[in-house]
Amino acid sequence: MDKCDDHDLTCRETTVLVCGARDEPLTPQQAASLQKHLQGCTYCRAASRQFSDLFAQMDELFARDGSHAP
Amino acid sequence: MNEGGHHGAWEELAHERPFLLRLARLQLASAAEAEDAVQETLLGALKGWSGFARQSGVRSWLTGILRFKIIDIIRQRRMEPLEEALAADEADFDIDALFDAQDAWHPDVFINAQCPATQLAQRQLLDIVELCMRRLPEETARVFLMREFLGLELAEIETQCTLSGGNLRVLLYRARMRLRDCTVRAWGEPE
Repeated sequence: MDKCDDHDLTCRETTVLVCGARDEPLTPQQAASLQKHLQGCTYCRAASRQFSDLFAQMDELFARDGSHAP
Repeated sequence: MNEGGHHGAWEELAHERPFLLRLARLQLASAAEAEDAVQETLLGALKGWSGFARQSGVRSWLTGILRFKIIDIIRQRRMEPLEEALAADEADFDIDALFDAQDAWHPDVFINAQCPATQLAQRQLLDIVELCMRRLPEETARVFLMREFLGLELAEIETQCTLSGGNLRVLLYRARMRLRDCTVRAWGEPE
């Protein structure tokens, strides 16, 4: 796997955004930075897919629709 | 047990009892409280059996009922402050080891396994998630499920758990990183 070529956002910061988006919507700026990083980072693309599958399975396990409104 | 004319309903409901109990135990510290919540869920479902439209599975329906039972219980009390639990959690799982000095994923430890949806039945995948959830530290799991299972807003969880907003976000982040780490390891294991 190639190293990331985006240096505006680190991979660790990317995980914080991907996980945090579960609770609160990202700002347009955060969303744009995340997209830019994902385009240039195979590791984060793989991790992002892993999170996405995991979250979908959690929604199914907890019989939630993923909206997270109480 | 009076089944109210719904033959086999109780058996179908009771079949989900072990799962509901495991879920309730993750959320409620007291075994007796969890038993009561599950029993009330099953009895409530039996009562409403004729209105159950089967648009979702029995497990999903019961999980939804249990969610509201547990929310009721949790809203009636306040949890002990969790700062110590947070510190214990940090000692237990080293997120720093996942990244290099530049905070990029460390290539030596990165697990690239993707969800093997085609090889594993959906129920097996959910079992992996449940198993990984049960490996979370007890207090972390409780707070994490207030968000992920009960769907409470962050502000309410902060109040209930006497946690700062910052610490709650750290706890949720760490729990999701742990869950990812655990599930991708399971996905990567040969069958």
